[in-house]
Amino acid sequence: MIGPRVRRLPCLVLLATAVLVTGCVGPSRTDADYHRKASNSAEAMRSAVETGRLVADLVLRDRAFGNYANVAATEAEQAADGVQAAFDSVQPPSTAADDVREKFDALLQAATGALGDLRIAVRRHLLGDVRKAADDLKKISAQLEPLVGV
Amino acid sequence: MKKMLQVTLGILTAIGGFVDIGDLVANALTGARFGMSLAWVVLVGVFGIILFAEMSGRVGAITGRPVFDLVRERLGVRAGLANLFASFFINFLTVIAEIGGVALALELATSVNYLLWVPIVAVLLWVTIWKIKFESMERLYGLMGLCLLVFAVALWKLGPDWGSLWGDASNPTVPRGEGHPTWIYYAIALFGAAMTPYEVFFFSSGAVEERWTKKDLMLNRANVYIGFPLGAFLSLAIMACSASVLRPRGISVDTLSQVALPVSVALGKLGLAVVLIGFFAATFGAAIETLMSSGYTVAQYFGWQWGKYVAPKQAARFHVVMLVTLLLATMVTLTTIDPVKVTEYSIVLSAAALPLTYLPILVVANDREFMGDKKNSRVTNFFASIYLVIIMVVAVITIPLMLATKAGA
Amino acid sequence: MASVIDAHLHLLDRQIVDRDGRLIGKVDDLELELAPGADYPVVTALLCGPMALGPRLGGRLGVWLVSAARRLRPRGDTDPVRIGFGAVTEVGPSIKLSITVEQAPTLRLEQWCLEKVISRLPGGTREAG
Repeated sequence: MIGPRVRRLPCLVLLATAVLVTGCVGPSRTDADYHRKASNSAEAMRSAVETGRLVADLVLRDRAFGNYANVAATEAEQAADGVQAAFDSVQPPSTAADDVREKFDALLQAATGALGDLRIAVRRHLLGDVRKAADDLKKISAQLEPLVGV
Repeated sequence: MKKMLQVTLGILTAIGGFVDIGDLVANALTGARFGMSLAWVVLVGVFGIILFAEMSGRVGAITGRPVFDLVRERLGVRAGLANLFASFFINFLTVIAEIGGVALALELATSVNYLLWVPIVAVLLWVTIWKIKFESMERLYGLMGLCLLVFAVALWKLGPDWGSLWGDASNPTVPRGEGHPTWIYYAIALFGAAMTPYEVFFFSSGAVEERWTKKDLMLNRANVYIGFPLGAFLSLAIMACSASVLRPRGISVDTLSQVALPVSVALGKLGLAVVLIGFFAATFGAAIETLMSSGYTVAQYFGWQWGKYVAPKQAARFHVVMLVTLLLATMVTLTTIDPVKVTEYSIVLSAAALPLTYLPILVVANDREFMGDKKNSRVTNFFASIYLVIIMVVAVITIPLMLATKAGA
Repeated sequence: MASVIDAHLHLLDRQIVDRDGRLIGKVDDLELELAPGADYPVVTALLCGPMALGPRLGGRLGVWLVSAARRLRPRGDTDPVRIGFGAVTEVGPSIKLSITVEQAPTLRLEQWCLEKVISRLPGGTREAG
């Protein structure tokens, strides 16, 4: 009784892993589908941006030591990179969607850029630059907000 | 005093087993995404692990035989071997996750890339298993792991809206914008993290390592009733910290650094230092436990001499299994596979494989011939049967749910 | 302790422990003998090790186990390790023997691991655990 089940299980697990690894952002067929993907990307990007803001705040208030802040900022930037790359790889289903893509992509790029600035500032411990990056991130977060959960 | 120290087996199992990289990630992640609406799962999980860990410790003390020794006898050679493969594989994933977790904790403290820490962690792990006595090991990492209590302090300092946290926890509903399948998927992940099978492999083998007998049954209870609730308390504190600091900001947790953010917010540099020590101790303790469990399961299936209570030269095969597991796990970790992702899969697969471990324990704990008058009481069996149903349902729905929700995406 | 021992239920797959409490192996199979004129077979020995386990597992895995084990043995030696039933002193959660591990040569893989790996590591030959 256990035999066939056990043999099937590894296959299922492999299949699941394959689906998950390849299927993070799949093709999108309709504009609605495309918008949903953009919304998910906005949510993920907001998470990275807010992480960056929190790290900046901790650094400015001297509540986190440099090594930790550096790693946290770097990871936020990496997360942002990932979100942007995933969204860019989606084929827009129509020319109307191209517009969405262009505007939204610029916002994602700004977010990634600001997180990069934050990482550099944190690493050099330039508090002025950290503050500037935090201000940028705050603006970007406000712009992302309405796109989340559409 | 000696008795006091002996309770550390429970604390180590709890800190290093209940609260390991899986729980750190799962609790912080669910707290950030679902608030306290999944807190009940932690309680269901801790009650289950208490029930079955107590049984496995009692069986170990009375019969001198740990869990995996009995698995083969009860399931037969073939099913027992299938169980060994499944348990070993999931345990192996957990070893990878814990090694990665230790390295990530060191990266947070030093800013040196975790991949450079991985080989050093592997050497440290081997030296610890090879050289340090079982009791000293569990005391060192068990007590160091208490640093994680800083999450409770941080929560108190944050002064969250206790009423709304309690409201979320006591009246669980799926948060807006989240689907039921995803919510249930994460409930299963939390349940798997709480009831990870290696905890009972380790606990029951530990009972034999420490040569427990009938006289130690009280000690068994004390360990289980103190250690695991402590672990649950820590888990809930981590979840609540995440729910109060990360959730309002829309931060979703995918790295270990984010798990520590609330402590840094509440307690600053000192709290951060303490939490990083806690991360290190909990993941290092769990790495030891999972590594030893890999040796325990294989040796106990084949009947080889195992354990740290004999000299390594008397348990050569046991030590070789651990060494090979450590080397393979280190190599996989070095492929730059994301340890946090491995953690998420390992706890979910653990959930799917729970009956393999817990069913044989229940059967043996009811065997009058083995256990005499120390067999399960009716009350224990009543609750154990309920858990058996839960575990079976979880095992059946986990993989389909994983596919349907794209692993909770 | 049951007075009647069910060979399948009480012996097979159980842990074997030597006189000094060291773990020898599992009861991987049993040797039965039907004496001339007797009505039922009698268990004459416990069989241990891959040579006994392999055939019981069956399938490709069993064959593989046997052929892997053969590599550690002198050519032509394919008998499983045999522990005469006379050496058994107690049948309980584990099977206790009156002999020591050295008298029951179940340890080829153990020896190999000891020689090739453990004794080469620093501290591998120390006495205390």
